[in-house]
Amino acid sequence: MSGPPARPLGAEARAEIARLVGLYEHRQSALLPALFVAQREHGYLSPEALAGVAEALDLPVSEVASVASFYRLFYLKPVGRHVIQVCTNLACMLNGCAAVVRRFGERLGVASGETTADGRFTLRTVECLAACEEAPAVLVDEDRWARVTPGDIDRLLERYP
Amino acid sequence: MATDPAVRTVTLTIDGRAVTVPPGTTVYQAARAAGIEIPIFCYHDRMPPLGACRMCLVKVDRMGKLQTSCTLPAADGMVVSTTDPEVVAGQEAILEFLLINHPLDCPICDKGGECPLQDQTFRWGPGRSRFVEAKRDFAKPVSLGPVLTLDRERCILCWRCVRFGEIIAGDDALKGFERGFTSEINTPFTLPVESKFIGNTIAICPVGALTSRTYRFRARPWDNEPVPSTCTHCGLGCAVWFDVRGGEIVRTRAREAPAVNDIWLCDLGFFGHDYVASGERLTAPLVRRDGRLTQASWEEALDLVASRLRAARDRAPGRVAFLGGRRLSNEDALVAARLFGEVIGTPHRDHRVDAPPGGASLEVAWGLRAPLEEIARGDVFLLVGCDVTEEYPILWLRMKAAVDRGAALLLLHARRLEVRRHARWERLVRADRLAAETGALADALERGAAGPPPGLEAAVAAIAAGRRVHVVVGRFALDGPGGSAVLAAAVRIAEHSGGVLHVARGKGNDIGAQRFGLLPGAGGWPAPEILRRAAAGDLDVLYVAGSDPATAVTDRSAWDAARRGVGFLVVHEAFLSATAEAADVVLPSLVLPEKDGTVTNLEGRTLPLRAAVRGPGAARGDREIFSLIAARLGALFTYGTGDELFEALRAATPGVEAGAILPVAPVPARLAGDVPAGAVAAGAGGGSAELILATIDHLFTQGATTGRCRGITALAGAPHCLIHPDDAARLGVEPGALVELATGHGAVVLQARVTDVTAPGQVLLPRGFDAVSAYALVRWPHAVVAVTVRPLVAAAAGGAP
Amino acid sequence: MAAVFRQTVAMLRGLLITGRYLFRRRVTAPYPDVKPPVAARFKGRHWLTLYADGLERCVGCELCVIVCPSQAIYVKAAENTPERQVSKGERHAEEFQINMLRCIFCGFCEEACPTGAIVLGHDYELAGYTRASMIYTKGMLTEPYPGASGRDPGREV
Repeated sequence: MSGPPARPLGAEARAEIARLVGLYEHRQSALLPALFVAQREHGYLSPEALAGVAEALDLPVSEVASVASFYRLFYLKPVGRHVIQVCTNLACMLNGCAAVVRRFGERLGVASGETTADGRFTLRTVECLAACEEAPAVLVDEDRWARVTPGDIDRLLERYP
Repeated sequence: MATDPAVRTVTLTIDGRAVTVPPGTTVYQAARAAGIEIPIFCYHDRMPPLGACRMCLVKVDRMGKLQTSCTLPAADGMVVSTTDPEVVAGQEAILEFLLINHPLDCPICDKGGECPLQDQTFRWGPGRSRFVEAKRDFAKPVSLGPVLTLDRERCILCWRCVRFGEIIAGDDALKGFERGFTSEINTPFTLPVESKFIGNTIAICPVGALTSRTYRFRARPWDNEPVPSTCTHCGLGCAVWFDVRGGEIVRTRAREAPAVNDIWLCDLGFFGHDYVASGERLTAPLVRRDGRLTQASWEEALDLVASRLRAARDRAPGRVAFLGGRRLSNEDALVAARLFGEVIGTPHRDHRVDAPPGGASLEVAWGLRAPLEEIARGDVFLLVGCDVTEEYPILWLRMKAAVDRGAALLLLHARRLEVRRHARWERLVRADRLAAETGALADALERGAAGPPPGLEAAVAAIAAGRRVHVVVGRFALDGPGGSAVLAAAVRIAEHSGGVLHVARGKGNDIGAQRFGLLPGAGGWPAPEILRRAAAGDLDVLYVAGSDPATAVTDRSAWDAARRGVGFLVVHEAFLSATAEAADVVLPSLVLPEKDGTVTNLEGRTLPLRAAVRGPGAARGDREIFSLIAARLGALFTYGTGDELFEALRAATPGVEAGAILPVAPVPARLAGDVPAGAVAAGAGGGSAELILATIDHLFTQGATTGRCRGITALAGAPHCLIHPDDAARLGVEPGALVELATGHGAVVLQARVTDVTAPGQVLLPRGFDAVSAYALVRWPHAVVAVTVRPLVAAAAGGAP
Repeated sequence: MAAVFRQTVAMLRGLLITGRYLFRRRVTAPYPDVKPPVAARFKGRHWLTLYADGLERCVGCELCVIVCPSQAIYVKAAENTPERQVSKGERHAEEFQINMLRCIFCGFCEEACPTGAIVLGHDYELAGYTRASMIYTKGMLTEPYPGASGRDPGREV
């Protein structure tokens, strides 16, 4: 599988996690922000990154991996440069997200959960982006797109080289 | 019943019956106390309630919805129904829901026949399901290491196994992953599970999601005849059931014993029984003829042994010596002591085969000085050179319970312990610094207000504040350099804190051997001296039973010299061990799961053994062999039944009662060899001692017995040593590469594990791997030697160097 | 005189009954030259049946063992491997023995079997010269080819 080589957590990330630990009463409380720090550094949460977070927080690796697997915004596999997340929950489904997902799939040549061969996009479906009033909602990286129709998709993809 | 006004109670009505319970009791517990059954899955009485499975629904008056009785505290005047039609409908609905994704593959599931989900579906289930859609589909079965099989489709997500890892064992081995519909129990990345207690999760899993790989498909519960006995691996004497099918132990289960193992076992206990049924068991006596061991009849072998013993005795009784006892029962030890002490009259008997000369192991009686239940109430645990989970796993469960209630765990060792996450203070030192560090801790405590040296503050504060301090000294500390100094310092710490000093030393039935006469008599030699005298030609017959000195003696060359020097070596063995291979006569003996009798655990508690299976071929029990030899020497031991023998034990040692503790001898207040920390033996070429070698204990090993247990052998992995990353980088040792460890006395080749579990400047070598003898590298009187590490280029990567 | 007469009448009456049967249809059969037919649901010798593709139906679950009122069945299960797939799924019977001396042909095993593996056939000529020969092993019990026992190998259970 392509993607960044597995490596331990860098010194900068470790220092940032150490800073985060100081902000909370319990070490466990720093787990989510620490996971984001590790993911920013590596692009995804490799087994080594999770082990690094566990060591920095003095938590069992199993607990760190368990928490990371619970949240959709943590990636346990390498992802593309841009991550497209299409909501498929109730409001979005009623407003036609299926067509949006299908159009993304055709346009990128990947199924949900897969990354394009050039490593540019990863397509995922998610449950609820908390934007039901703007259904169907799509999140690309950290940008939220409202009322997306299949026709919008070509233009949308062009914005993310 | 006497009523104490201070103790308030609550009275509630369950199914029309008034039940009175202490406050804080849950409705479920109250119902159970009253004999009313409520079905449960997630609740387990050794763990706090969770309320995950919803199976225990009850109806409570004036509460709108059905309540989960396992999480609902009983209150005065509460009116509860467990049989209301609403409750029945609720329970049926929950079971129908739990079964939605359950594959119902009971015919091929190992839990079938002893499965709470099966039983409760039968009793409380709806009988049919409305769910016709496709069930959740997982890859199965998934192997999580050598002993555990995971089937996620069967899992009902009760979290018992996860909570066991968090609350009871503290190893967090299994966790929940993903969420919602895709939730699953697993290890991170489905890697082999890392735990010493995982067998317990198999036992408490209420469905067939976690099953044993070694027991897989071997029997149904109705095939098995359970035999209550005692586990004889680590020496804590956990109560077990041996499940026997067709004359073979197919699995071991924990038997409830609140004072010892409660309801738990370690994985060595769970999976360490295969050796009994090994095809390599000795089935006939072997006698050396023309330099080769050949099969002989019992008559011939016993006559030969008796004649050599008689000849030696006639020369001088002291020309016979006896070694061993760890794998003997109390009764065996008693009869052996009578044979050698009374009939032959030699004082040279010792079970402490793996104790080095000059080590503190020979200065003090082995064993715990307080019951396990009292240890569980401790508030400070100082472990000096004792790797509790590797040596006495069930002892750790007691400590874990106390640590969760706020007790302080203090660790002082030459290796990092896997329980260090639970420790308040940890000190990792090189083996040759252990004595100095323990001494410094004792000094700091005694100085009190003067202020402890840096690094010791937390430990000193914890011990000073402790009211029930337990100091545990392990084999590593006792037998390491300056073992006497460690022991002396530990005595000072225990005395200063008013605590208890435990000598965590002894495996199998060592304590029983110590108690029933397998210790040097008046003028007798301890084990190392027996070996030295044997090498010097002072012995005619060396008799070994219940031990394998060739692998256990901590200096291989000392054993080899003893073997060469002694005229006649008799060995009781179940396998053709290294000792048996060198013997003149090998008598095939039974192993402990094949014996009736008793053993003594580390607390000094007398525990029952019951023969689960018959021995192979012509193998005989050790005490029977001793009696037959005694008869040939003119002494008739007339022990009829096991009861008579137990009476003899009680007569020999007043205070011995079945199941009760008779404390081991107290630790002497002043110790003989209170010497400063010993120096390390010089290295191979007289070089600088920059790397030292020390042997450590592992729970999973590859010895004569453990090497013949499939699960244990696989858990142990390849023989390996532990090297610190700094040393590995300096020496060019890659993780997992083969290295040659060489001392002036020998060399071994094994795998290097690069880890900061060991201190810099120190290579740790697990003992108990017979293929790679740690003790070939050691030469007495030094327990720790300088070592050179040479990385070997892997053959595949360009030929041998 | 009267006694002689009474006895003669009684004998003739008896002969009359015998004579009546001389001209009725015969109910006995000259076994073993002629084998009497058995009912469709007769419970005779057991077969371990196969699926149409030749895989064994038996998964070694031992439900027949626990249900057997005369404790005539012994099963030892083992795991299927990719190299040796004996039955469908994970588990198969490595050993399967029925002690025909103990069996009372009640058919409970057939009823308990969740996969329809064990069926009771029509063969009732089950005799032997030794006790050992009356313990039928898996090789003897398994039907030689799918459907050999007379049961449809394509049936579900």
